[in-house]
Amino acid sequence: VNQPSNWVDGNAIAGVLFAVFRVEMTAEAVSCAACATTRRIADLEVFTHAHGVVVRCPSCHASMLVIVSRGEMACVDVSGILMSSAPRGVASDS
Amino acid sequence: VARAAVSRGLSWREATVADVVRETPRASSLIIDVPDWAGHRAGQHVDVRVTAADGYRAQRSYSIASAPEDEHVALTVERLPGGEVSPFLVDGISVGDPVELRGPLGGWFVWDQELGGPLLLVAGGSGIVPLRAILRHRVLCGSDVPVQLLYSARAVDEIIYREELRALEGADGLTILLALTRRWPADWTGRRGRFHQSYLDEVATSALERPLVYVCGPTGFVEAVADGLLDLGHDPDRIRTERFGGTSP
Repeated sequence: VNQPSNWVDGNAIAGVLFAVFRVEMTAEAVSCAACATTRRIADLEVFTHAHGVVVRCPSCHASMLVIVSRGEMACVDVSGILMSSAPRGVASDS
Repeated sequence: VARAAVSRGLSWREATVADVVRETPRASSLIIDVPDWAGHRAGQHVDVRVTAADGYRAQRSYSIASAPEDEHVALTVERLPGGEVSPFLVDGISVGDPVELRGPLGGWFVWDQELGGPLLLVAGGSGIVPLRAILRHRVLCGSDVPVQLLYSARAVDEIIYREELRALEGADGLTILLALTRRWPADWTGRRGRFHQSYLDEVATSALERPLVYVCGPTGFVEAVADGLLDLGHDPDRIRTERFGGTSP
C-alpha cells in the first residue's frame, strides 16, 4: 500500500474527453478490444506522459485510449475500445 | 471505431481567487469567484490551468470542495513534493490573482440526493476534498441518509477540515472515524495505522446494508480499500472510486 503508484484513474481525463466528445464520458461503460472486459471510463488506468495520455484496461492492461494534446487540439485514438455505437450525444460531424 | 479527432466544446473560464485559507501545513483552500458558474454536483472536479511568466502552461485536475449550495467554488489543493502546479497553488497564489478553470467535470464520482444512501465515504489524505463536498451537500440539501466517513491522514496536523469535521461530528446520522498512519498523540483514541481489511470488517457499514460507497485518495490507498470492501461482499456497482496517484497517507 505504501508504494507510489504512477497511474490515476479515468476521472482525471473527464476534461479532455468532454472537450473532444462534447459530453460527459466518465460514467460511460466501454469494452476492451483485447480482452472484452467492460468497465466505466472512470475506472480505467490512466498514465500521463510528457507527450500524451495512455489509458489502459484495468484487467489486461492493454492500451484502450491514447490522447495527444497540442494547444487547443486533442487527438484521441480509440482503437483499443469496442463500441457497438457512439456514446450518447457524441457529435457526428467529426 | 477508428479515430475521433479534434474539437472545441468545453471552454476555459477566467476566474479570480477571492480568498486563500490554509488548511494544513501542506494544503490550502482557494475560494474562487467564477463568473456565470452554472453550478456543479457534489464530487465533481475542475481542470485548473496556470500560465507562467514565460508563457509555459500546465494544467491539473482538482476536486471541488464546496457544496453546490455554497456561494463560491472552493478547491483544496495539497502540495505534492516535486509538483509543478500544486506548490504554486498552495504557496504562490494570492487573493485577486486570476486562475483559469474548465468544468465542472465528472459524472460518475458524484452524489445527489436522489442516489440515496446509506453512504460510506472513505478518504485517504486529500481524498477528503470531494467527500467534504458530499458531506456539505447532504446537510444543505436536507438529506437524512445515514453517512459514515472513514478518513485516514498522516498526523493530526494533516487532517484537512479538522475543525469543520469536529463540529459536524455527532450531527444526526453522521459517524466519523479518523485514522492516523504516521504520528499520533499519546491520547489519540482513533485508529493508529492504515485501514486494513480486518478494520474495515470491524467498523465499516456492513455490505448487508448495501451502502453507496465513495473511496478517494492516492491510487494505492484506493486500490487497497476497494479490494478490501469487495472481499467483504460490497457490491462493485455501488463502489465509486477516484484515484489521484502519489503515495498513501
